[in-house]
Amino acid sequence: MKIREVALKKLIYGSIGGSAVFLFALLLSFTVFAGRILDTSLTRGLGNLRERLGADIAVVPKGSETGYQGILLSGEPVECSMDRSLEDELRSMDGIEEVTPVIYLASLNASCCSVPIQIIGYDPETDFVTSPWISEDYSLQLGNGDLIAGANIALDGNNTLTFFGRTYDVKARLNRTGTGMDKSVYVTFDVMEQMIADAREKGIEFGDGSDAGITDRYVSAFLIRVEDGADADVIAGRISRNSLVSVVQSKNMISSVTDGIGIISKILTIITWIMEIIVTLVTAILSVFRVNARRKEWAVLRMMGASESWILRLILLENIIMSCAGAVLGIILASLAVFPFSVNVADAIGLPYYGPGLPGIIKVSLLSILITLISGALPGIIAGAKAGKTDCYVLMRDGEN
Amino acid sequence: MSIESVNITKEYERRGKTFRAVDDVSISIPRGKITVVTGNSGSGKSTLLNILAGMIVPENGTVHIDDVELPCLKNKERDKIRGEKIGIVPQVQSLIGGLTVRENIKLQQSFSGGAADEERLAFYIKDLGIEDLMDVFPSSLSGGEMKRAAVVRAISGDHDYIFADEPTGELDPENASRIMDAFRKQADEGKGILLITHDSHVEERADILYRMENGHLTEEKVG
Repeated sequence: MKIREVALKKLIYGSIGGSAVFLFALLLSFTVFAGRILDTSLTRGLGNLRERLGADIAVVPKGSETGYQGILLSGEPVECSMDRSLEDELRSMDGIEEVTPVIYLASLNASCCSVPIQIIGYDPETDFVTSPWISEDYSLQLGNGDLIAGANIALDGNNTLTFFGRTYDVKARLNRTGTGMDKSVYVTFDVMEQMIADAREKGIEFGDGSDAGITDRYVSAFLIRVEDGADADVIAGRISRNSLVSVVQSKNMISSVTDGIGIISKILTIITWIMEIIVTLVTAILSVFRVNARRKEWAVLRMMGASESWILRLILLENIIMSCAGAVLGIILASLAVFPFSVNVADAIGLPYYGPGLPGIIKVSLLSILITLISGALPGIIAGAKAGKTDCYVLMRDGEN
Repeated sequence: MSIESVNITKEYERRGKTFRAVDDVSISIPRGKITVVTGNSGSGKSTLLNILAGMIVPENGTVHIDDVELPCLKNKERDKIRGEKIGIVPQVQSLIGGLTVRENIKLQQSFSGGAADEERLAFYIKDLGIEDLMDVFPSSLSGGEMKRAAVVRAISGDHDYIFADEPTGELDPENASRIMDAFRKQADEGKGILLITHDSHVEERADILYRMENGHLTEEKVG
């Protein structure tokens, strides 16, 4: 009879305390898997944000810095406007390579709009931020009246979106990035001009409230790329002298997001380690308990000819089987808890969140199983060595000398 | 071929005092015979069985199984020799829980490195009345059924020797007789049988009978 058959039979029909080992393995695996998926998703989200920011500096109306960051990080809709005349001044500044204006318009949570989201208008003539990654996903350029939707935007049945009472065809949908960009739609300035006019009819004012040519006179922000070798801090300082605007530097924003993710990552790592230690200790206590409760069994096995190492392997195998089963179920439960609610998790955290693909999930699953197995196997080895030393004399305790 | 012990001694600590359970005992367990050791509780019988089976190492003296000197071996080697040479029926319930009777037998055979002839084993299974219990877990067996199953398990490994501690304890006369018949057949097949007992019916069927008192052994009958 093979040792693995004995281990399985013992666990199914004759286990003492095996289900507790299983339960703690499940808890550890759940924690490790959920924690690693969260950590990986935040790191990937940060990577996507860094990759797609494009600009070194954003110039926004005074007091709109948080709103601007909210658009990028979590897609929180904001609306702001400022005079476009600043554009020429910015272009003339030393050290600035490119400047492009953008317009942020929030749709309404009302029947006139399909969804309350952020609408981002960009100028195709000067844009160096949005177009590159749109063309990365699609080999097309946006034309007049075209609209592109972020990955998380729910489209109407016939692939359209309605904003301020007017329906637009969605030409393409962008790949998921895990950033606020997933919750935005992208339009060129000519479409934005139409939307602003429609919005005004719904009571939303943008700029000075005038009609035609509004995008020539008002925008929401200027995105700036500095020249190689130029100091972004110096340029940001120079722009800040204008009392009507605020400056957001990408590196500062990335740094603050990185810090936020770093703290979460540390907390997750600490929780994982604490769980690892607790589960290893509890499994060790349970294993010693199980070994003591089965002393007579070890004595019988020794009597039958089992070696110390055979008994050690039996207990190790029992622990590994229980830990492995617990780990797999823990991963399944964690998957059911994490993946269906990833959007809610991202919203709650307010940071870029981009879940791993299948290879990443497999990697995290294997890591969770490995960590859980270690916490089950180590106590198994210690308890198994103790059991192997059981003297057959135990058998005589019920009898005589 | 036999198991021989020469001048073996084993001491234990009991309530702070040294207690000599086996005192300068020499004994031979030949093949083809039933050797019975009888004596009062606490006389050292079970300790003697454990020493002869290599489960306890004596402080003095030596034990030979056929030509192998047991105390000189490492634990692992002693385990192997025991698994291969000696089938043991302990005094207490000894079937492994969670494994059926059939699986208990298979496990014993995997330690023995060999198995009794299937036809012969089937004969003992039937003779001891456990053919309907082969796929039953120990927790569902009565004390007598467990004892009979343990005897079959000990026989199943085709060992050269069978040791049994109180093999008929808690059994009704009919079942006790069935077990003794099985041991007799084993002895007739050339196995060396060592029985530790209080039971006078077992003593009557001994080829060689020893009495143990306070760790000392005296020979009373040689058949």
